[in-house]
Amino acid sequence: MILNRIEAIEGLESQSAAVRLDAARFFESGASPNDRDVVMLALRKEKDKWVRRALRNAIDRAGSVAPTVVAAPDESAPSELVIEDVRSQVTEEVAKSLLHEIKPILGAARADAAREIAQYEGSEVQKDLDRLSGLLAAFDSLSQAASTASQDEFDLAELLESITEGLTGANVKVSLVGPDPLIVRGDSGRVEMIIQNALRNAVDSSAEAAKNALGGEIVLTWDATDRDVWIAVLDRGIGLRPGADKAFEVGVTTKPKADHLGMGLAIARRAAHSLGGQVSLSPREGGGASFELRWPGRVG
Amino acid sequence: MIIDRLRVEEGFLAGLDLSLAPGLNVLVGPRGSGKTSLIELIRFCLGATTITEAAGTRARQHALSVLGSGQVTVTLRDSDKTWTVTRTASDERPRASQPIPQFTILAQNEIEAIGLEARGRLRLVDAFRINGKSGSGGESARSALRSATVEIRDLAAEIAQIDSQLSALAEVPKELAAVQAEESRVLKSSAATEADQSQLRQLQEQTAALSVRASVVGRARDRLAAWQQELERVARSAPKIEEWPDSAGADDLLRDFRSRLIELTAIAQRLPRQASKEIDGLSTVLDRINTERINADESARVIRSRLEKLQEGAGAITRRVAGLREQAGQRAALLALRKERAARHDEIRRERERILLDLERLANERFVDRQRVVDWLNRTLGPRIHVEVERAQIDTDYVAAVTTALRGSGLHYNTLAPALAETMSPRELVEAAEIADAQRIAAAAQIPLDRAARVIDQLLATGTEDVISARLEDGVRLELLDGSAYKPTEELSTGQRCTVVLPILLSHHGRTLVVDQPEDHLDNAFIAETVIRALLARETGDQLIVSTHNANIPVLGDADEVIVLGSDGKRGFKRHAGPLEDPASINAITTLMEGGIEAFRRRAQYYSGLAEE
Repeated sequence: MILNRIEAIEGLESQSAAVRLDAARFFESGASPNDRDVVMLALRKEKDKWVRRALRNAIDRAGSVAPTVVAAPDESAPSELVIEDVRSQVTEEVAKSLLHEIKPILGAARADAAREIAQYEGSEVQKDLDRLSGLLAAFDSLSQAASTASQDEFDLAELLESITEGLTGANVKVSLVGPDPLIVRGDSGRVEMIIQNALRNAVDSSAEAAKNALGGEIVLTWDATDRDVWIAVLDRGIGLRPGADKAFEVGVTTKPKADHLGMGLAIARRAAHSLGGQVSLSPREGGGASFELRWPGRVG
Repeated sequence: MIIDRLRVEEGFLAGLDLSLAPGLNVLVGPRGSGKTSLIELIRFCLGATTITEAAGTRARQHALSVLGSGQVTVTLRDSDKTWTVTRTASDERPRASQPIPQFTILAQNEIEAIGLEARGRLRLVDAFRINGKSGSGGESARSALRSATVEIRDLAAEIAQIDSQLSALAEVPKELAAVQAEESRVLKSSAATEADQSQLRQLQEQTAALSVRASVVGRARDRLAAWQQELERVARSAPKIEEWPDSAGADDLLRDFRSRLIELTAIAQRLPRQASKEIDGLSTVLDRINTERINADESARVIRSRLEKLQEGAGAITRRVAGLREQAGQRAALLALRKERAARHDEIRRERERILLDLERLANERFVDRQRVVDWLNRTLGPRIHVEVERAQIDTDYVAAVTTALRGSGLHYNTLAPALAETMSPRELVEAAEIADAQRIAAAAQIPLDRAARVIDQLLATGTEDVISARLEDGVRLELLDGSAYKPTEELSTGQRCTVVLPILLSHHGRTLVVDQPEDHLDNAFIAETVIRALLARETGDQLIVSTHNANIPVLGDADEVIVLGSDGKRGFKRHAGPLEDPASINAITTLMEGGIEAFRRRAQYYSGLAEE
């Protein structure tokens, strides 16, 4: 019988399913929100069905779970969509005027820092300024993403193949499944921006999962229906963390803030709206996430 | 290893003699010409199982009705070595001079059924395993697990009984001390002689020891009596071997065996008799102890009455001391017994722990083995097809064991048993019952505490051993990428299920695959895209035997041998057999499968506009 948290955390790693079950029962009977990460990771690795069940209960009891569909503003809720867009527009307007003021100051700061700081190259100051530049650039893309999209006809299969070229690495494999060619209508640059973003998240998540000997290939799949064109990015990465339902908001990230600006999904959503479409992100059965883009880009 | 030749004597396919080629053999012929019969005869002859359970009975019945009183002979070939396997309807199993290797033979409509049956899916994956066959293994460990669990339960019951006896004797040491103090006060104040007092104490010690002796010997005798009954039962169940019938030939091959069996039976019958003798011996010992007790009691009575005369109340107090000393002796013996039993209980629990770990290790190895197969399949068939193996998903045995245990308890076992099996592992459930941890069961299965307590009573009364040793099998999930998501076979259409299963079957190189009409639920687009691609990917030496009505299979699949069957309504026979380019093969395919040359020409004309574009 496991009586304390330290034993329970150790127990989750045991070779014996009976010990793991004991550990899972400990969390089941009283997991705190702090335990969520360790329990979620254990669930991803766990194969025994009773341990899995107990771990799932533990996650439920620890509070917020990754929701089934985290952000899919659809036709059934047009008003919400409009509100979101208005809010984003306001954010952008404010950002734009700020950008206008900040950019020259940032440029001056860079020049001054390079001159006045002895070892500027590789310094923390440089890193901070780089991040600030990155953030400003991201706000730029956000307003670009919201601008009117062009309506070209292009081969989606070709575009997706070119995006994924060179992506498959030591830890990641990307498979493409879809009709080739598939001529669609829309702004290919916008689509590329969205899918690149989704793929970057999938690759990061898969690399993170690979650290725990998990993960698997990323599947990029697409096709057209009688109404729209869809693209899905399916990964076996670490999956959505709690709070992922806010992932589409500007500046929100569930990842360490030092590496991520939290702009990617917000840009993707603005870009999707400009195409007249939507993006959604949902967890996959068995771990990982599924990202989907749909827009009315059917030709013929 | 390939099927080289098939011969049938009597029955619907009487006189059939077929040579089969390595590579793709395609069986064609109108409906009723015996394509399915031929495949079922191959299966019957080789004793090959079906992948789904439902197909098994049908397949056997079909083969038996086709064969009648005849015989089927299959010649197997491994490079230049050949051997035959034969079987008649009445043969329990195939007759072969060597062990028969594994073949995968799929009945009509079986491909789409595999996806819906958990055990079928598991067999599909297990067919690829090199180091193991289907089934859980660990038979001896499982039976050791059962007997350890029975012993644990019996020991726990015995310990509980000892505890209840001990609790009745809990106050004895205190009482004895008090009464002894009283006794020595009484005796001191009386004029009792030193000799009387010491004799009295001696007698008290003696009767106490005799009483314990009687209990110990009595317990030994009871135990032996229970065992004697078991031995009696074993002796009575000695096997009776039939006499050698004349029709089996003059020479009784069992003659030596018979005489050895008689010896063995005699030994078995001797055992309960010897045990009886021992019981009688113990009874004599017990009688002797009882006589001694009576004598000791009598001597004590004499002294007590002498003391009573000297001092009123002295007799009564000394009698009470004697009684309490007896109880104290019993208590000491029970404490020792409890310690011994508790030690055995711990020991057997540790032993069971080892067995459980062994079984878990075995299950892990099997799982890892399956995982290897699944990884390979995913590499080969991904990303459209995805296979996943899950631990201990097939729990029908476990649910059945819990159901049986709970039957007659007044609990709603039909809903409770699956709920328990779903939420608690067999080991967890049994161990919780053994230590009467109702809390754990209540929390895990989400049932009220009083129901959990009844579950425990019922499990302990009727069969923790069946529950803990229940078989659990891994589950296999087959998924198809359908649109933007992967879907499991249960959610797929019939054709989609074939889309998942067929490529898996066809990726098994080195094992002959026989399929009866795989195209039933498949459209030509799928056949051209998936089936044909898989057929063409066969490796040199892979043998496939496929019956079909679809011309794409022999033509686009580049058949190595085309076999045409015909029938006059009473008997099916071979019309033609030859390579794909053979004019007779071409003729048969055009006539049977394309609806004749005229129909084919008109279709070709219709498509030609398309072709010229």
